[in-house]
Amino acid sequence: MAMRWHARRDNKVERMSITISDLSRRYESFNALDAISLDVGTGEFVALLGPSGSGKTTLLRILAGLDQPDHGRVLRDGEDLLALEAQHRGIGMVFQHYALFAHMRVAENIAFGLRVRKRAQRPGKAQIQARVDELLRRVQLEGIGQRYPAQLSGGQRQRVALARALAIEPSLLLLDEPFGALDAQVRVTLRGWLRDLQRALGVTTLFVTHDQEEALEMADRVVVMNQGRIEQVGTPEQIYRQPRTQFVHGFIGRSSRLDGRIVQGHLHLPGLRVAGSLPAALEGREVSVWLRPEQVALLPEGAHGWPLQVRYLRQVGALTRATLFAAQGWQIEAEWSSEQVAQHALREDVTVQALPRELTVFEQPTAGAPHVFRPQPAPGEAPQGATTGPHA
Amino acid sequence: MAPGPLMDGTHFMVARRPASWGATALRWLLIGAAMLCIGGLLLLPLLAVFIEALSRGWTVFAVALADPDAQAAVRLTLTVAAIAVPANMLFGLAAAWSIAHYQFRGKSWLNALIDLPFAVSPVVAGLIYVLVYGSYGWFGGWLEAHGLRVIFAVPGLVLATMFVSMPFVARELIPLMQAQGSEEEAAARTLGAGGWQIFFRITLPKIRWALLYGVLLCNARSMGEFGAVSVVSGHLPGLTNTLPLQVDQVYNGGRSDAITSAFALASLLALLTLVTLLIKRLLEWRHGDALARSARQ
Repeated sequence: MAMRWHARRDNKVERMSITISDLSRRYESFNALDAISLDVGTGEFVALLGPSGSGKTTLLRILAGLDQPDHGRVLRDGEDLLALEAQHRGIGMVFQHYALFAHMRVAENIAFGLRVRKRAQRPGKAQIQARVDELLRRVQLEGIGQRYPAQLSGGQRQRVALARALAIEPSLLLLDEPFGALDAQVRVTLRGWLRDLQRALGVTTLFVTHDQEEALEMADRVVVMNQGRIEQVGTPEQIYRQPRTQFVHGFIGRSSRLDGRIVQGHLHLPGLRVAGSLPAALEGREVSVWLRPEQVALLPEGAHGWPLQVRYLRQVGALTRATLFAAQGWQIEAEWSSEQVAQHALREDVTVQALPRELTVFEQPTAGAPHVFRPQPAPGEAPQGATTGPHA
Repeated sequence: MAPGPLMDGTHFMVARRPASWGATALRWLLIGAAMLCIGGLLLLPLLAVFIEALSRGWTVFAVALADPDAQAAVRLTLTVAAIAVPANMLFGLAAAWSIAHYQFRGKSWLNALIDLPFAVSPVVAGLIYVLVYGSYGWFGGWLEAHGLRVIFAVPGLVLATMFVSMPFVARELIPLMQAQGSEEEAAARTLGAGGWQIFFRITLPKIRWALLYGVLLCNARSMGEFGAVSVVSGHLPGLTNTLPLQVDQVYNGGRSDAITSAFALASLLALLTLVTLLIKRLLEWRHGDALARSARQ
């Protein structure tokens, strides 16, 4: 295994796991965090993903010691982290707007965490200088140590903030919307770079973002948060392929939602009766049905699927996005390759036969895990007006 | 003639359409009015002070300043300022820090009350201290029983001076610190800095010019205060007369050289204030960039 680059001289490599249990933080009128529990493994890169106000930044600030929870525990390798003052936690934080010290040069910014140490632990001047140079090299900013933050671009400031946080050899690195203030192109470039750096250093990292693409692309695991609660924890693939709650299905990726009911083992949608293997427990229940646009297959002409009218066609790069309408007024999104669209000679206002390869069914009101099933084509079934579904 | 490139500022200036007669007239009228006010209300009287003070030659001037009561007044003024200004600096820092960085009940009240000394007449300010600490005031009896004298003594002068000069530092700092927020302090904390390290290495450098402005203004007001100090002083020459009170007493004293002596003292007072202004100007000139960057954002 490659040595971590900032392993201490005594070879005591600080790699830490974090255990968060039952953490709550209440502000006057709302729960910023509501009984959060989460384990972060050593060297892991975890993304906290959620809409604004979901509590991700509050969690980060509590871990950094800048906010206090009302309830709950945080352990770092078994040690009570919350008992420590922020200044003694040794946790590196990169703030959303970087919070660089405007009156200090870049090198002074990076050296700050070393210079404020007690005399006994403070490295010598030459050592600090060497460390600053090493960090500047690491974040690819050689030669700008003597500039002031105001003279840097957004991407450069972000990297200075990162170098400053890394200078204290943090046991945990916290990044609050690290790319939030950058323009789109710089963001994409920095993503891969930051991921590589984190892997090389092996520093346990928690990273807050509201950008799902960022989270899915960079993180080992994604924590989806909503209204102060954790909706789901999983690998990017699990989060996308097996969303456990309706919120996650709706928040991650593109999806369509329909209301239906299970009657005699069939899913009834307005104007449609869908066959498939459904658990008996759902019999007679109201359900929400979710599907991804790329799961909507376009059937050959004459085949039996869902007869849907193409309402809008939009070319997005290599893909074509379509909005499909049922006669009863509901709609779903579909995504096809441009070749498929050409093959079927699709245009707006034609009616096609489409069939989702996969449907995810949530019982309403939501209870328990969702059920995923493959809808069967229903030969001979009159698709319109034949059922007496609840919405017909 | 081809016009210059649009982006070129100099061409803009040169190519500016001639202003209409009315606009030109207004411009000169406003500049003239401002100059007249500064000249007539500020410069001329200031000049008069020095001319009057020196009108009968240096001897009278020197005699006026050699008077032991005058010297005591100068010492007292400097003493009072030396206590009131640092106290108000600490108060201003604490108030600005609290208002900018903390959420607490009564914050808007605190913010509003800081301006009170600007709104209240200095005479009233003096009287409230008499009412509280005077012989017949709330704590007067207790203080006298313990041999402490506030009113008609130096502590009263300091209190009254602190009252009237209280807002200057806080008012300079509050908007600045509110605009700056506390993220840099938070960052410093996560990097391992303690409270004093954060204050001296992060906060103070960010606010030093505003703080200096506030202190200079506070100092000017402290040394020049008349109304509030007059009420609590008791006008004992050589004991509780500050320089402004001494000027007033000499002026109204009815001695033959009263006018000249008063002007001699007044010029000294004006000189102290002018030195303050000069320091401020000097700092602006020396550190103009830093000032523009941090103090007046």
